[in-house]
Amino acid sequence: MNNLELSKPQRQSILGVAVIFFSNLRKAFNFFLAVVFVNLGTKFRILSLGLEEWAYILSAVFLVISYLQFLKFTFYIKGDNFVIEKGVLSQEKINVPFARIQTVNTHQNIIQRILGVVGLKIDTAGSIQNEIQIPALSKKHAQQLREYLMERKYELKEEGEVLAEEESSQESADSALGSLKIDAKPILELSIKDLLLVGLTQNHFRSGLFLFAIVNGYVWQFEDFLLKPFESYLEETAESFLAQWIILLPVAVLLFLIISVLASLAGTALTHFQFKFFLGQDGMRMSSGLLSKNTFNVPFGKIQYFKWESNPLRALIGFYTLRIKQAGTEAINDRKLISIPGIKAKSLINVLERQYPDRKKFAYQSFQVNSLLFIQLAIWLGAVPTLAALALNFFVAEIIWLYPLVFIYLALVLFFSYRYFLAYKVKVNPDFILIKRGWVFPTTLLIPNYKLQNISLKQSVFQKRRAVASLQLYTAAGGESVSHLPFHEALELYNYLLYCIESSKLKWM
Amino acid sequence: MIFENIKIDIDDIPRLEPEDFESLREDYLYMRISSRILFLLFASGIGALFSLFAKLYFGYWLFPILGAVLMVIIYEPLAFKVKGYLLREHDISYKTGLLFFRQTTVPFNRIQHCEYNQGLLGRLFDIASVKVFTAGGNTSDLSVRGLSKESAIKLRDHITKLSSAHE
Repeated sequence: MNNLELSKPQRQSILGVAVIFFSNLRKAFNFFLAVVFVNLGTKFRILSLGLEEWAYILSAVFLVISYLQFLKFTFYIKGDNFVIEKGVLSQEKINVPFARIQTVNTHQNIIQRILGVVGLKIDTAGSIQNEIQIPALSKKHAQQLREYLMERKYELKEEGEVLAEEESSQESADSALGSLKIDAKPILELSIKDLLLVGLTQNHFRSGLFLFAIVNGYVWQFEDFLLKPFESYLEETAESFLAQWIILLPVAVLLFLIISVLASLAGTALTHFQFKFFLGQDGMRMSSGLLSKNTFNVPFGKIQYFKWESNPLRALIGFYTLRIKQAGTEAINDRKLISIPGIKAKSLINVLERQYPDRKKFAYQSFQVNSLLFIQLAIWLGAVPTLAALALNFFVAEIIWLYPLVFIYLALVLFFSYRYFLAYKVKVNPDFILIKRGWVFPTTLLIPNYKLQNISLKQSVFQKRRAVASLQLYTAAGGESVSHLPFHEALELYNYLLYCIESSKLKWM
Repeated sequence: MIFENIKIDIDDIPRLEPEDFESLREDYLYMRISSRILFLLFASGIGALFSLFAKLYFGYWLFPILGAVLMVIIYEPLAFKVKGYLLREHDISYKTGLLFFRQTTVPFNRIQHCEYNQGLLGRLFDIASVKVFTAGGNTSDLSVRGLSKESAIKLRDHITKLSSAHE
């Protein structure tokens, strides 16, 4: 074993002071920004000290606090637990039993990269709420600790399995040696060109809206200082603006588009720079990031199901986004980092082949979705804007060219709803359920039946009239729905999937 | 015949039909009605205060509340008929919803833990509920409502015993 002295409480690398200091500073940044904005232009003085002096004093205070936090942050091993103690004013003690540890991940933000230290995050099955992380360790130390923790975890698992089943001990002994056995060569690596393609084919609309939301949030936060000075000017020009909105609208749309594309490019570069995806015997590993470098380890047992999607731009260059849905809190799943952007069909099949070699062992049985899906979709998407437009014409002012516009919109809605309905496919075999949906944004889900947690059958009054029902399938990584199946088939599927869950001896995690 | 061509025959799969469900205790219906009427009484109290001190026309609150009382009296018995639970060897199910029907089944080998619960009104009517948690998240949890205290405790112990057998 390595030379980790974990029986006694240990501190992290001394550089941890800097890491803690900067993370404290970042938390305080928003507050400082507000103070600076409030006092923009006025002379800021408290106790006859100016803004600059206060900044120095507060920084010094933060430095002292950070140093104290560093001193109070210790970690050690006690019995079968990994213990972290922290907190200056209120002491906190986090106990992590080895058996609960799912994976140990490393990450580096820009400060940690400059200082050459690594942050260690311990991922548990989600039952322990607190975030368990050690902000700064030397690279070597982090590696050793990570390996040690994983070793202990597997040793424990092995002991349990030896008691239960003698044959399986061989297997787990193998995995105990290398903690998570990972192939040396990545299955997927994104070059700069791939990165550019991924960035260009993002859902720009979404990144644009996201950026807009952030900027908007900031603008309203400082509304008084940013907009007040220009109020009179704004009011004056507002009327002339209104008159010119027909000219301004295309410009605004174009501007929004350009900014959106830039935002997606920047976002892609930040999160997926030097993206590497490794596949191994009992898990996957991903590493990427420009400013902050993250490594994720996903043991196979934690993976609940796969979801891969595309969009019209990506389909052109044959790229998919593969999302690996793993058990745990929603927050973990929402992070983009657990998704693999820009995977080609061939690599995708390769991954599926490794993870689910038996997925085609049995024939799939297809289910036909009821046309109520098309009708409801068309009504929801079509009726509301149409009624709004007609009401506008009727009550406010008649705009003649709105009529053909409404007509075109309705035709488009009908067309897309119909394509969506046609593209919706549900297939089931004894081991898997496969759901395909979406025509513009095709999404495919592959869920092993034994990974399901529970099932709901839903039927609204509208569905009842047409003898149609929807299923809601819940896994430890979130729920997915199957809409508008004929009632008897839905019930049949419900019973069948329950049978699959209840008769399966496989562990969902 | 939906699942031809696979290793088990569809007829061998245990079926769960909406008719198999046990209905809940009738007291649960009375409890629901009273809890809603209590709420409406509270609301009319606030309305009466406004009428007394702010000279609000009493019809503005009285008629909507009377309408709501009528709705409660018509809707709740109909909705009660839909509710029910079903305990089988390997799972537990609950169904509810008059306008938006929903039936959920949780297999015992997926249960994380379960909880017994009795509210304030529940003590008066001898009504308790059992909530079952899985790893499927908050929206997927199942509560069996409208049981007597005795049977709720029995059900909880039964589920705890069966689900821990799968650990």
